[in-house]
Amino acid sequence: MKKLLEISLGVVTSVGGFLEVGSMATAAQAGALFGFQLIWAVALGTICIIFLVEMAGRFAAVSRHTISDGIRERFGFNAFIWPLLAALLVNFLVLSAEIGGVAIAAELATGIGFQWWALPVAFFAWLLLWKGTFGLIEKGVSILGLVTLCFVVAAVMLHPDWKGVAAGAVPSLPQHDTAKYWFMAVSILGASISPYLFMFYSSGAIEDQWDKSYLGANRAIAGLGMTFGGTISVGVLIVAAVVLGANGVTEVDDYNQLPLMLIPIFGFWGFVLFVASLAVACFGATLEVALQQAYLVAQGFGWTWGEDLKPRDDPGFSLVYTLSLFLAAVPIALGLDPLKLTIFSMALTAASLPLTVVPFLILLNDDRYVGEHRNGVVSNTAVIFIIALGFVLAVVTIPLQIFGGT
Amino acid sequence: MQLLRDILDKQVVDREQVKIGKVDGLVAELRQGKPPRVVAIELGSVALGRRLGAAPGRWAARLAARLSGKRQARPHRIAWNKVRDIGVDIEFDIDVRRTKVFAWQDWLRQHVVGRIPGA
Amino acid sequence: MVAGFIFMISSDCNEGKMVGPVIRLSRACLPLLLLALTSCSSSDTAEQQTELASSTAQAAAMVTDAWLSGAAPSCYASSALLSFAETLADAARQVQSASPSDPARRDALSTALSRLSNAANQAASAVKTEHHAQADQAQQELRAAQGDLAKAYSEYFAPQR
Repeated sequence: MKKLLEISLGVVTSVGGFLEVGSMATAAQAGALFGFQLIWAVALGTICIIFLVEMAGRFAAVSRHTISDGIRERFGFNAFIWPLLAALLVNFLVLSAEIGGVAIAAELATGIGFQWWALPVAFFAWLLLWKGTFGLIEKGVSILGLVTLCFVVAAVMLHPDWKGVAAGAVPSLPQHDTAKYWFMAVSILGASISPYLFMFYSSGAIEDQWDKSYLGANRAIAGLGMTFGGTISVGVLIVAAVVLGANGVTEVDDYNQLPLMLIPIFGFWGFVLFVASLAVACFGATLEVALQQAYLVAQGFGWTWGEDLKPRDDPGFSLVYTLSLFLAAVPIALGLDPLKLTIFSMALTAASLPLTVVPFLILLNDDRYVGEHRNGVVSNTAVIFIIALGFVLAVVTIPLQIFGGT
Repeated sequence: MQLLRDILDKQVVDREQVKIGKVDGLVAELRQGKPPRVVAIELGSVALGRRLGAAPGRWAARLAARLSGKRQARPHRIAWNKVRDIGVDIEFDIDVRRTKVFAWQDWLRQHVVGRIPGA
Repeated sequence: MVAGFIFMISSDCNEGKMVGPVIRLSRACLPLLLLALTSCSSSDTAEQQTELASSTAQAAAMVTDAWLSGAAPSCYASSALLSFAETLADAARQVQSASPSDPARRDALSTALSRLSNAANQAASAVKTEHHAQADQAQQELRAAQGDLAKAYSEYFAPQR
């Protein structure tokens, strides 16, 4: 039972990992332009990440390795360099977008431009990582993250056409803007299936000292936690479809349009709830991605690591997250539009997925690491199919989007 | 025991279970008619550089020499006969504080991390 | 893509007889490709910008409504409206600089877009100075301009008389 309380690991990973600026922005854009039609992309992304997160937890609990550590050990340093570099680059862009998300929330609340908030946000995140413990971050973010349930409440209160919602869960071809439809599908997949998400989960499982007895709880946590995130994303999509799309706001290209989603339903509290949801979800993600950069490097090189340690005891680890945070704040401080950066980094994530997921899948089928807890056919097939789909779509639609121009 | 599979890139810890690093390189003795024998493991940026190629190895050595003096230009070695246990990690019967492996981390602690309040 | 074609042509020039037909084909395709690219652009631009503009105008109307009913704080509403006004002005500029077959219709479209932009700016300053009556007026101006846009858009794409 106490283990199920550790559902907080699943929930924080979900709030910080699944629901963040990427999933909110892509769901809002998709709902506004295509109504309920792209719900299937969120569903597919959620299914895939449930599998991946469960695998991450199982891998950590059985092999007592984290994913980063495991990839280096199994494939050697020369092969490890590629997923390492790809992950560092994609994480950097995502971290930048998340800091941008918090900065936007701050701008909406105060009127002071988001560029001015970039460094303060990075500093506050750094302070929490420097002084805080893993438990504090885990529980703090998950409790605060419950505010994002307002989207689910809003979606229900709007009495949408539930048959239409269900129909949207089945893939369908678009009636208009074909290239944009597939590009959005790719961005949604990239927003749902972020590598830092399941890598963070494996590090968290080791931080929380999981062993084989946690396997059952792991399945529950992965399933419930990721479904929580996925449901909220669908909530955002439904709200955007009914409040924005149906009222003629079909192109959400300006972050100032986002609070409009909740204002008609909750009035002034809608504005407050939106700003709070955006801030918490993105801040949680900021902490997670920054930590993941540090985990990636420290575990790959065998340094001492751990959020519960004082920074002086793991100087390499601490410096990586410090540098990551302040470097990632720079593009936002220079005025790069966080919304555009978000959409782009989500698509890039989808394109880079094979590089990190394929080694991970191989590890989950290697009995030297996971013994008899190897992947079944279902897990392998589901993940391979979804990753391949995401990759193919990304490779096709990203150039089209760049040349088609948004 | 398969050298590459079971030793290379594995986590190394000292007798206090402190993480030292990963096995970045191996030193083996070739023998006539018998399989090679592991003599020592290597750790550090110079060993890693050599894994990537001869040229990166040289650059790593030059950089290390410039930053910390000629003695750091060679990879750190731990003799294989000091192995105590091999499981998830490889445990050596040494005290990492008596080696130079953590020289860069100590430097960071003194000059950067330690100077920031709350470390 | 065009650059790709040119590269192929110049690098093949030194090869033997087999690439002759390829070169001839590319040289024939190149002008067609350029023609296709230029002829697509102006009505595409008009369509794209109009869709963006009507979406943005609707957002501006929603923000003004929200402010009038007290649901949106003034600093958010005014900066949102200014941002929308900028997008609308940019749409007007883009349409104006495209070169279509009928300049009169293009002018009508870009005028409608400019009117929208001005209406949004009006709303922004009304919100900033907390003038409800002015904001109401700006709201009506916005709606009228939206009507203008719809009319100009359908005429733009109507068949030539």
